[in-house]
Amino acid sequence: MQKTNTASKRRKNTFFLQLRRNKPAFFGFLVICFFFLVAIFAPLIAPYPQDATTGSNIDARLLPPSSEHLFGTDDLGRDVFSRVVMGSRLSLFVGVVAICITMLIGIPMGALAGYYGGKWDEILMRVTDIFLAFPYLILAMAIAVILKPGLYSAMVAISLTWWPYYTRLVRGQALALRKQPFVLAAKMMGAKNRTIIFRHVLPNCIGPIIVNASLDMGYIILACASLGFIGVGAQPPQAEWGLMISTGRSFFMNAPWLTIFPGLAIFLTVLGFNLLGDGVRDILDPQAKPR
Amino acid sequence: MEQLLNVRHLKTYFKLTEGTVRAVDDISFSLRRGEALGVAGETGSGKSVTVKSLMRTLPSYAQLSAEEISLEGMDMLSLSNSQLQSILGKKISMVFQNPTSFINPLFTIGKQMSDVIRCHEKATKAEALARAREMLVLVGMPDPDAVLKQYPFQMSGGMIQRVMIALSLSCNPSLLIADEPTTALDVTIQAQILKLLGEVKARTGGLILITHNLAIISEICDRIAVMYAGKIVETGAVSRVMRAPRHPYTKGLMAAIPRLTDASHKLTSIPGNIPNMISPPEGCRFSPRCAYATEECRRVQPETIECEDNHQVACHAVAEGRI
Repeated sequence: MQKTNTASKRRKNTFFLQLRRNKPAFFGFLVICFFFLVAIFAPLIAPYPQDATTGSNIDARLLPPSSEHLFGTDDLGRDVFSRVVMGSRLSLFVGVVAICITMLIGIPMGALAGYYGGKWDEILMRVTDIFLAFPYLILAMAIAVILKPGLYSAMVAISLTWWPYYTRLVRGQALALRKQPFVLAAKMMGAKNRTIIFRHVLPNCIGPIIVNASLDMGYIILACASLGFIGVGAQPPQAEWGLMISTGRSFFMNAPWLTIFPGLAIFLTVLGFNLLGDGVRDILDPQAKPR
Repeated sequence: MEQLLNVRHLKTYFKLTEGTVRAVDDISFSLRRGEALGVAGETGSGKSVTVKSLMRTLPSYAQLSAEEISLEGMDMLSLSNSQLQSILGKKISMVFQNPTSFINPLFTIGKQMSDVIRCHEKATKAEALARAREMLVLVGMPDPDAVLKQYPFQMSGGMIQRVMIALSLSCNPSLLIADEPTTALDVTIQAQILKLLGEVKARTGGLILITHNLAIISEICDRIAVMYAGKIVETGAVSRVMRAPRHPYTKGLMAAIPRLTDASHKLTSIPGNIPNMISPPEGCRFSPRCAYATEECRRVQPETIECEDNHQVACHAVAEGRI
């Protein structure tokens, strides 16, 4: 009892230790932690939280960064710092929810296709082919427009364009796993297909899924910002980073702070998730180091 | 003694683009309750395919036909998939060749064992765990409580093979099949596992042991079936077949066992290789390698005859009294 407890604790510790030792990954981890903390405490950090939605102050238009307005103000006199801080909530929320929906659709589909094979595999793979044939941004735009532009439809659109990647990923894993001796053994011990999928196939795909999800978080936030920039994502006056860059770009020559700071925020979050994802992949990769 | 397993005219063919592989070609055997049958033969002789045919876990391109496969009088051929699922692991269970790859690396031993028990019997988690512990004690596992909480990677191959044996016994199966259970283990562990199999033999209705190691069969089994190229060439009581083999192939196998007592004894080998299974020899499949082969052997497949009480052999030479 005591022995195994310490053993499992030691294993958790080694994961964290390996993360610490991997400098870029740990930096990414810290950046993400920072943004999550900012998002959680956004109303306390932002000096003018009302600016994220309805607030405006015509007297203070396009002020450069100062001690009063750290990131300056925009064309309606709203505090850019407050908007960037509040915007972290939207971006992270979209990222987390979209990745969850994506996995919820993609993973079961992939497990079905890979484990059962045959007809199921053929049908599902052709469906993913159709989705993958479109550049994701175009497809997301189309869906977002059909659903009436807005943050939620951007989220749905991104999930609907992203799931085929997970279906493919899980299918590949399931194809390899269903040939594994322990899956055969489970079958020979009389396990049902459902049991085999949930007990033996899916848990063994979790490594690549985690890696992919942490990498994709960055891309999804970026995609959401892109949709906001084009105008089919978040709608004004929402403080979404992509939308802020879009509205700020007409003032780029005389008020660059309108685009630079939201851009920096996007850059840092995406970088953070990418670095973390790469690090997690190195840690979980059994080829790099036997577990 | 009561019949436990009866297999008559089992044929398993694999349809490939190159042709049909007759992996198991018309074999019949039976197993009485309490008996241990050893199936011997070289790689590719159809031992594992026979077992997989019994459990109906063949790949989809395999074709299986048989006049009868019955376990405890129940017709195995007419079972639906869900009926089969309820029998596998409960009535028939299996111990595998390479234990470490036959266990899911992600869950503790206790979890996996209680899963199997709960899959076949109504039991609460605690009851299933208690049963798992009991089975671990039965297979002589030191410190069963710790083992239940361990992950497969924390254990050695021999330990996991013990767990697998405990697992396969946990639902009191009527038939235990062991497919080369000691091949992946080192020699000292092999001895322990064999001793254990000998001990647990009594707890099951019957045991089928697949191996190419004749010494293991003589140690544990009551009867032996020698397979060659998808056919059973000789069956009989272990003591009789080992002492006085009749089929030229079995004779060859026996002559290939090194002897400790006789230093001058030279090891012999059987010339040639196992035949191509897509187009096997027309007559007796062993005829190209057989020293006694005649024209008839090459043309006509030999019938299985009873050469003495409880000892069958399929060979023209034996039937004609030439050997």
